[in-house]
Amino acid sequence: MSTSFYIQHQVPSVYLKWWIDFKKNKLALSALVIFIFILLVAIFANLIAPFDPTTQFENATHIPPTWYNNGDVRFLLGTDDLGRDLFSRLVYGARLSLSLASLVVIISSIIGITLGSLLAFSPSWIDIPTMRIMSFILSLPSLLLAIVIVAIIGPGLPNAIYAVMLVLIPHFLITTRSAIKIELKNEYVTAMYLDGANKFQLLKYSILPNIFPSIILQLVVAFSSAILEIAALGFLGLGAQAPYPEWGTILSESHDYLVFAPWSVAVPGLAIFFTILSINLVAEGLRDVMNVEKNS
Amino acid sequence: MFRIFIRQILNLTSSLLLLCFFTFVLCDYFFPNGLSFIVSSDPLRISESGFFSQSIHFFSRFFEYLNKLLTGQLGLSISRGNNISDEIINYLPASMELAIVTLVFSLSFGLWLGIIAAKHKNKWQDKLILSATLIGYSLPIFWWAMLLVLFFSLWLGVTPVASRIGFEYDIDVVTGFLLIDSLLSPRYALDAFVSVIQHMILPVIVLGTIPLAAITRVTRSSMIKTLGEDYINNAIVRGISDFSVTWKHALRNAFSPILTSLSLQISSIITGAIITESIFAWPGAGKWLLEAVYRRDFPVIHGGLLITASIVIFIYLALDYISMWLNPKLRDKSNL
Repeated sequence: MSTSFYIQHQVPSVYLKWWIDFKKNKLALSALVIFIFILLVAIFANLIAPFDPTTQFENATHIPPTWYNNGDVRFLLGTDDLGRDLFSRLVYGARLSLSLASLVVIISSIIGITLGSLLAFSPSWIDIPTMRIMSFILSLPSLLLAIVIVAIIGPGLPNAIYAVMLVLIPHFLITTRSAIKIELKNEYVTAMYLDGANKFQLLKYSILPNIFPSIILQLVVAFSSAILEIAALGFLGLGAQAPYPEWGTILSESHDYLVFAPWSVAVPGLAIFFTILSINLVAEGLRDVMNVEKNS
Repeated sequence: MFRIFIRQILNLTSSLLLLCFFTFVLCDYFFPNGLSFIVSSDPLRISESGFFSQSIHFFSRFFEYLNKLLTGQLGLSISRGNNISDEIINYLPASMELAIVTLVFSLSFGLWLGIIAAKHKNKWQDKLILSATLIGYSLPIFWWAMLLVLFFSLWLGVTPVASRIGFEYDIDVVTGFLLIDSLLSPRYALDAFVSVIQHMILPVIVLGTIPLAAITRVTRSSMIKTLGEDYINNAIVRGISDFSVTWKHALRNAFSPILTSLSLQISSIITGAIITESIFAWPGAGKWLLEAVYRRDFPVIHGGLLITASIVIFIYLALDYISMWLNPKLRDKSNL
């Protein structure tokens, strides 16, 4: 209001305040920009990639990237052992990895948060044994668990997705449950309870808005670990199988040609690395902004 | 202290029972035949006679299973026909050697870097170390391993590509830890030991990167908090040397969060060991387990899961005791 005589105090909303604080952290902001860029690449993969990820050019195998002397202009990042364009595979790989990771995170967060909320309000004879089982599962190495699940239900992309999902659910469950338990001790919750709110209203109106930051943070962290775990399973040959342009699978295919095609190892790894790094930096920035203590 | 001990024992038994029940249900549900392989020492005889058929009650099957586990019988490997307990004894020391050296590496460097960062808070050293840890935290370790192999082994040729020791050395197995065994065998003087160290450098760096980054970050934040306390200022004013203040007074008080983060890194080391061992052809339990997965050798997967998970449970117990030893406040906390 420029016409107003008095200085107007505008109190920004919580989300706006987070964003204002987040913008001050240049590193986190640039990481967010990089992540959005990778996201856009993944969404518009079919417009960006020059070729289909599975098209083979039989007379153009192991072509190095364009800037090498014997590179080819058509293939920006070179081709792999079957003559497939590495750039197209990476771009489609971004779509595959990011969409699978988001699917995993969305489903496991819905299940985990629902169960966690139920658990927080359930009587202790349900709560305590379930928590023991969950913390026991959490103490097992996640990739080991995923490998065992894949070993039981068989290798392949869908099964790897189920495995990663199952591994992530306890994380959401425990985070939600302990966050709710901490909130329940606060006086405003007691006040609302005394006003006659039932458990659902308590959860919806007073608890969920307050544990929102830690859930958001858990979502971001779970997203990066989902990407890494899907890639690791793909690399070990237990996740996405050969024709899929999944980042881990691409890496395991190029592992055999490490000696004379080092670019085919370096480039897909860089893609995973930058994605994870940008997500971690964003998580770091969010943690500072939202004042969430790093939960174990 | 005694009550805590009882509580720990109960926790331990319940965790182990839970683990056994978990593996039992997995086997029983998905691989009823696989289970008979595990329970019997002679697969053919048992599956013919139907000794472990579904007609027996679920719980009596479970107790039979527990009974076998308690006597140390894990069954036979389908693909190789070996006794699984023997195979574990063969492969586990290699993994443990790798894990222990990695733990020592990441703990010593992590504490050192974290303390440097904490002492130079917000200066260039701190910023350098913090950004390095962020990078280390985000590295996909399978890619990191390949990059290191490419650079150090293939281009510079300073480290071997794979395996635990040069093929020209023939070391007698005494403890299974090659670092010790190579010193015990008099045939090659120090050559074999040097070879073992050379083979160990890259896997340890690969496996240790994420724990190193995590420990450095925790040490830094915990030390910054502790170094700001009044008793530290008091110690400095009293003229106690800088070294003694940081390493004796501050570090001991800052150690509790570091230990918590260390216990979280245990599972990251085991996860990483599976990948690292398969890349460096390290003949350890991780590679053994992964190969069993490829062959769908279910008794081996079962045995590997059981052993690894029990080791994790025991490590957590040990870390609990270490934290109680370091921090007397935890000893009489009832909700431990």
